[in-house]
Amino acid sequence: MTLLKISDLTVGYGDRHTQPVLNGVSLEVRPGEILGVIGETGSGKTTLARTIVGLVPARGGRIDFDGVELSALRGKGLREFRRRGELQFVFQDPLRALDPDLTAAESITEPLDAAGVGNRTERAERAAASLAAVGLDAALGDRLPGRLSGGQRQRVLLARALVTRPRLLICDEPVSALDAANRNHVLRLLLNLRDASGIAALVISHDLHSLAGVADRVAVLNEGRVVEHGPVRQVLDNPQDPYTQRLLAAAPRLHTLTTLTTASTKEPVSS
Amino acid sequence: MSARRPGSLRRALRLTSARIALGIILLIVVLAFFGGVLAPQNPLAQNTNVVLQGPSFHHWLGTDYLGRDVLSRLMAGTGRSVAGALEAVGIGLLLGVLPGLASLWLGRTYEWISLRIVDAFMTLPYVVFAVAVTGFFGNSLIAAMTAVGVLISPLYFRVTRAAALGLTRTQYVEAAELFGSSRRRVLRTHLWSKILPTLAVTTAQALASALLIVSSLAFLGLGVEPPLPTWGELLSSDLDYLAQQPWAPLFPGLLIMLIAGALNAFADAIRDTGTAQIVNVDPAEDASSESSEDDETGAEDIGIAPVAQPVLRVEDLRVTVNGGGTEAVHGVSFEVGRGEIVGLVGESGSGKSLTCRAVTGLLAPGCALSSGTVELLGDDDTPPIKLTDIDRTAWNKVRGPRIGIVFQDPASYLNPSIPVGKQLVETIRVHDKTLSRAAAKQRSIDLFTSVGLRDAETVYRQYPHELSGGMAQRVLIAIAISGEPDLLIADEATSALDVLVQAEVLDLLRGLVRDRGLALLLVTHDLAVVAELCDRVLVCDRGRIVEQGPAARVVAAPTRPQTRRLLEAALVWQPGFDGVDTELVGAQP
Repeated sequence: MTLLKISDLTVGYGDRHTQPVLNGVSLEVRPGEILGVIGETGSGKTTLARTIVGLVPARGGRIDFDGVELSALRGKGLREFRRRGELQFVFQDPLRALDPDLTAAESITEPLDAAGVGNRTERAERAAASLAAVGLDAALGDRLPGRLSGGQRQRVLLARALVTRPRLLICDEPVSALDAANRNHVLRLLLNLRDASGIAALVISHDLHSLAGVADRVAVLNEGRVVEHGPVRQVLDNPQDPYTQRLLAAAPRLHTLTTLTTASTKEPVSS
Repeated sequence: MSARRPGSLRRALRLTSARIALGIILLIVVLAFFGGVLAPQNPLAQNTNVVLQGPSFHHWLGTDYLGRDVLSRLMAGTGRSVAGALEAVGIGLLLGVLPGLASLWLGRTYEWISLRIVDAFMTLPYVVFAVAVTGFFGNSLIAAMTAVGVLISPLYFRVTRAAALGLTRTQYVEAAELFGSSRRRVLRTHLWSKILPTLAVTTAQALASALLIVSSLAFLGLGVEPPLPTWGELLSSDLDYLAQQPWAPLFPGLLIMLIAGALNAFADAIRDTGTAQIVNVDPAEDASSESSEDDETGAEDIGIAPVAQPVLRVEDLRVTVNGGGTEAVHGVSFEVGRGEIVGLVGESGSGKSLTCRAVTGLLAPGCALSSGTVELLGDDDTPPIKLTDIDRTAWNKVRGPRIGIVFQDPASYLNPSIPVGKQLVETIRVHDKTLSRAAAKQRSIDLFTSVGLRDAETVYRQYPHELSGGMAQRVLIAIAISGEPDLLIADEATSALDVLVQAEVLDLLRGLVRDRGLALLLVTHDLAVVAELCDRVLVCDRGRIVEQGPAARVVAAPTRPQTRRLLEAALVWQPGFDGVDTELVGAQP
């Protein structure tokens, strides 16, 4: 049983003769599974995320979400599907993805407003619950994005995506704008959500290591093709494709500290 | 907690010029409504005994050729002149804004046709068109100003379209689309409040020009219905008697200038304050909400560690935020030496960015240096400069030639509408005015090559959006080192780049320090970057430097819990943590 099925997806900008950005990509996400997609800038990973949610039109192939052929939806049908909120997109940069003039709570209720769910009080209650689910104090709901820290903003973005109780999250680089502590916090949150509510996620990142602790499976994208794809430990421990090997090697690592790593694992992690 | 920021109008009114301008505008509004009533004498009453008199007690601005009081006629004429201008602007607004917004959504054909119509209208001169229209529909002010309104509408069309077009490409509008929001809802929630200030500015300017046009038309006799006064008609009748009363046109002329000037000043004030919205997170608050542990440890700052050949010396730097209400940096001291790479690390909210901004004199409004000194130390040729004492002009001689700065998000520091090569040439010529354009171009290309941009000639001609993130960051580095500074400050310069590109940029920075003997202050949250690149590390936490020392030592054997926390954070998602063989980290090919 699959929740999201991408088959032979080809996407290109410009006319049909230009080199496609995505070239025959096939992927699957099962319910409750976290799939990581890794690649560097220009590999097509952001295009993949944007095509799934319909921000970029596909040139070929198809996308199915739980029996609905997403890639065939247009106009009214697409809008109705979106209003159900079963599929949510989490943007990379919370500062740009949140309207600077709307408070956190107003942004979070926006998907409910658009879909016309419940009355005003019910929507406010769901927004508050969503804030609590991402570990933010309810008082922060009254703040404008400019008055929130980077980590808080990213969590507001997550809360906005969660407010419609989606079954699948598409996250485009959800943590790359965050510092290490906030990054870990948000990734843990994602794991907890999955365990608590069985939500599935497709998480895009340029950093294999930041996915290591969250993803069940990873797909490595290079120049618009999936070059490697398998359980996360297998790809990390034993990369087969030369590109994956290069990607792993290029990450700045604390290689001087292998001794410390062993030592610090024995202490409880404080945050 | 303060939720909403004040509107642009309220912010604009903090400026004295805006207050004066608004005062004048209000005065004109009062005159427009009550000018006829307030006029000291009947503006239509003729008195052949006092024809063409100069200013006197009875007639403050003198009398005209029929002996009518000029002041009274000016006051009474305000209403008709302003009404004419308002009519034109109102028509322009209606005919411009709605089609402008519609052009975003009604498809390409509509967009193309509307743009062509607008282009055609823009080529028509106001006055000639208005004359033609009145020739057709009869000589009335209403017809003339309708014609002007039609010609003003392209301005509104373009302004609205441009403002809205930028907004519809923002991610929050994209997000709204993904929630299935209707266009009306998107317009109401996201676009309207942001277009409004722009429209207000345009309206103020359009009103000023419409007033000038209505006066010019009346001056030419268009829409004039004697004996009713308007400003332009006053001006024209004054001109007929120029020989007898050479100063007479001065009064209506001055009045027109005054109101046009006030409207423009007001528009400027709104625009200036409207764009100056600086995101200002309170770092102290941020830190407290993110972590509440270890409050008792590391509270005291540690002293300065002297270095050989220091370039930058910071002593007891304190920075307050919230307009002086809260101290967020509590006495930071450090030095950076020539040829040395110093990492300033900390979580967000630790005060590292504030420190960096204070050192570069770029503190956001509301933040201020409360005490301490920042000194740029020279060598034999150049005397030391106390950066904490110098003014804005002196800063311009420091940023560039002495300190180069590279920020996190290169795209937002480059002008999107100018080729990057030109931007570098501008920077070079600001600092070396004697350099010819050709020589500056050659230097730019050399600089681009030296920061590792392949095919520098092509890059020279490219626009920022044509560059990848890594290339844009290289361009920014080239601009930063173009003034041959002693000190380079990189604020999260590689955080937004992906790993392969990050590795290349770090390599470039290392090479620059080695080849040019630069001092490099690297502000980052990423201990892995520090471990890779830096000689020395300063660990910042809640506005204090809690640990410092050689990078290898700090990373391998941290003494402070804050440092350990940073390390753990950097390690958690590394392969090798969480039960997997730790040797893996070192064993990667």
